[in-house]
Amino acid sequence: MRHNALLCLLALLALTALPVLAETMYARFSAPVRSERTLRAATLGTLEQGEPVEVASKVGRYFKVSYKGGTGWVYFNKLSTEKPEDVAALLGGGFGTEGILLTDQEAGGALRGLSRMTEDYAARSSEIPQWTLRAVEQMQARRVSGQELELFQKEGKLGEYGEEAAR
Amino acid sequence: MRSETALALSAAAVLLTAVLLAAGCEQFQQTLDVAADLVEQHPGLIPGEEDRAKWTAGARLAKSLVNEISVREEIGIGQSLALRAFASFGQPYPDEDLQRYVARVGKLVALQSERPSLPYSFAVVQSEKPNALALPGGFVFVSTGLLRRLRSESELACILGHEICHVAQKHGIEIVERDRVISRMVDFGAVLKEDVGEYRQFIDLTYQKLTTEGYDRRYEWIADEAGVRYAFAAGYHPGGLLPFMEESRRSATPMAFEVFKTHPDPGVRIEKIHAVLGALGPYSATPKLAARYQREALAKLL
Repeated sequence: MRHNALLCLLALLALTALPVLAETMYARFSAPVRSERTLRAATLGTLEQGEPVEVASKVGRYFKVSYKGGTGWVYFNKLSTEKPEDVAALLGGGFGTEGILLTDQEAGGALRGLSRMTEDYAARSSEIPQWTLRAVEQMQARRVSGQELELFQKEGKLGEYGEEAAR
Repeated sequence: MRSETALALSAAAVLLTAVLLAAGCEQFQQTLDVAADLVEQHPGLIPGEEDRAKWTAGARLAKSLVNEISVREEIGIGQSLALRAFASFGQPYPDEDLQRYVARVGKLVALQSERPSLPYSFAVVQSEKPNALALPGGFVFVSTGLLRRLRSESELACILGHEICHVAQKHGIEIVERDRVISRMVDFGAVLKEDVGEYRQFIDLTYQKLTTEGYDRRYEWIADEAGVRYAFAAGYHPGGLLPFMEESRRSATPMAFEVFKTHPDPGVRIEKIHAVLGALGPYSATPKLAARYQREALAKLL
């Protein structure tokens, strides 16, 4: 009896000690899945923003994931426990006929155009100079691509690039 | 007898709600407010704690459905508020390289927020007052006066992270939804459709609320914590808020910086940030990128 209780306790301890997460996570943005926990490893494929993936464990700063019938590794800051909003779908492809369209989902996107209410608001408010319309449009249109962000991180040795530099 | 009365009252409330729902969202919302208050003040109306809890939860859900602002509406409101922000702060700084640099840091940090897919937009405005502002929909402003006071990219990342948190955790939208002055003066459903007059009033009130009263202390602490966390997850040294706050604490007038004029005492914030940093794990090797900030930001400011 006492022996059985000890076995149960050991089994419980073994279970809690296992680094098994077995949790669904989602790609925050375009996330490469690698064969090893290093930037230099082969890329098995890429998760698109919002794509779910089963996470088995976390080793260092990488998640071990189930991918294409095998396993792969994703850097921790590319996955989230919450699924990102599908902003393109929520915007319905645009802002009515006003032409606000997402142009780059991967990098957090950029918008074009102004809503009709915003244009009407500017037209009827004496406190809103016309140049502000152009300023908001320019601000929205400043597109930062995923590739540009990768180079920016690489140059600054940020995130995964910092890990690589420290090896 | 008591339960029959309660049942009859509940049925009447449901019927009244349904009728007013047909009459329009504004009345529906007001009815729910009154009904929720009634149940709270007279718990005997619905006997049984569990039933009462269900009713209250249902009323809250119904209210939230009425009040929910869609991403499309949020971005539209943000655009209009952004016009006001430019008009108040100043013109965009005429150096596209600097604008792009700030946008890159901002987007990198925003990808670590709770809303990585939102199309965030960043602008550097010509104003020597140290200032930063985030508006619903992802419009983030930073002044040249603030950029001049920073010494590294990690400081910029943490400050942008603080601002991005207000967008990602919908603090501004919550103010819009909760503010009784705004909700009573403006029929929110109508302003998003056709009524430009009411929309203008709504935008003006919201902008005033966001820039003069600011967020409450709870949100500022949440944003400090999130700013540190986002910057760290993006790969930056997470202590970037501290130099700015230390300077604010040392200055003759502790709230000298416009950017934090509505914020809690810097001494308290510094303590809380140290607590957050202590829980992050090792970060001493993470980059501050002072040289890149000097080259890409400070050198571009005339």
